[in-house]
Amino acid sequence: MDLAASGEPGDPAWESAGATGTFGTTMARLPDDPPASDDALMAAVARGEMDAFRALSRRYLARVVALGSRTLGDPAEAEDVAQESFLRLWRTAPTWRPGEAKVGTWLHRVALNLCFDRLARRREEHPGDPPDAADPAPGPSGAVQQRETADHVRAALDTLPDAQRRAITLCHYQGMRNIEAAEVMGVSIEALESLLARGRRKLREELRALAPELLGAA
Amino acid sequence: MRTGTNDTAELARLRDILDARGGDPGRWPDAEREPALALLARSADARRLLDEALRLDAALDLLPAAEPSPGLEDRIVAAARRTPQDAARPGVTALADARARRDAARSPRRGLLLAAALPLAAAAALALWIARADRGTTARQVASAGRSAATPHVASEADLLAALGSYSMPGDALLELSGLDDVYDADPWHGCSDGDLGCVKNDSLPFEPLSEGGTEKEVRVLS
Repeated sequence: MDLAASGEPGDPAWESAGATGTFGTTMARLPDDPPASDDALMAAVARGEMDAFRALSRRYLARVVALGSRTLGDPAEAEDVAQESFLRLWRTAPTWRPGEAKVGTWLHRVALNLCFDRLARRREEHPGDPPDAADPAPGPSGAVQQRETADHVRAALDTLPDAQRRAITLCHYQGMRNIEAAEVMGVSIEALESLLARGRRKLREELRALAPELLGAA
Repeated sequence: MRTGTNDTAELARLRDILDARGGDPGRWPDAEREPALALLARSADARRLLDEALRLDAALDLLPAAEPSPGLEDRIVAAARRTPQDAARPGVTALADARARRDAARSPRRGLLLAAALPLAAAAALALWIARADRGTTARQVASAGRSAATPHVASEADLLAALGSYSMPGDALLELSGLDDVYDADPWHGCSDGDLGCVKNDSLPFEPLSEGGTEKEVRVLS
């Protein structure tokens, strides 16, 4: 079966970002063929085809790591989350039913839940600690300033209720359309937009207090 | 010509859009993009709102994202090789299972089968009861004989078989199985106040009646 030829065009841009189309021997295709669809790849993964799993991983890995690193502020933890997310995808593949969920949506939901589980554990283990302290290590002044700026933004994000932060992470950072983010979060679009609006207003207040220069209000 | 009131309403709507979707017009609702851009073209207040939204977007963008380390993909694939997949259920997921059960429950054929099976089951139960109703010792007699013995009574297989044929009503089997008859034997007035039915009269019980109309639930034993 030519899996590559069964691609389904029209996936959202964020979902197809990073598609490479380099498959293994069982999925060999001509250079001009469109990339295999996620569902076709999942069908191959369900049969244990590692090349298809690698292709799916490559398609989404950067986005999942970005999600984790922005949420957790720790690249190593972000990679742990990414690995766990993809392993869950691997395990789940034989029971995957095409059309019931999109791979990208599913991965985002799993990765986001893993990230927030870790955030919750951090809060339980270190309830008095500030969410993200600036790294005191010396370095070039520009790098230090960038790090401090990032810390301010993350500290502001950390003040948000989880649902608001998830909404902003998915829409602003992951570039999802509202309908897709709502699907990941399992809420209506109206609820998502309410979360976004309240979240952005709260962020503006927090950043005004933490780093007014970031909003041009020095 | 637009009135000031319209602009105020449109400014409020623009603020909502900017709060929910940020300053990139590409993320605004399609139907509202053009009116919003028109408002921005004529209103300094609207431009100020857009500027605030864009500054917040830019501030959020200062949070960097890590990129996957070079070996991560290989590590994930290697980990997958060591990880067994879930048992395949071709074409069937849990959701599909639930849907199938729901559809089956709703199917008219199933309803017909159920309608036919219930009277048959009832008839079979009645026949069984009639066939066994004439057999000797009642279950209660067996039980009371056991309780009156000097040694703890252990029901023999013969006792149990005899008990099986002793019910006076089909529903007795349910009471016996759930042990409700034993509860009645221990507290014959429990849940019963009608002397005509063989219950102990309430006024002969060693309890004060519960206070009527109050919230007190405690039963006090008379001294």
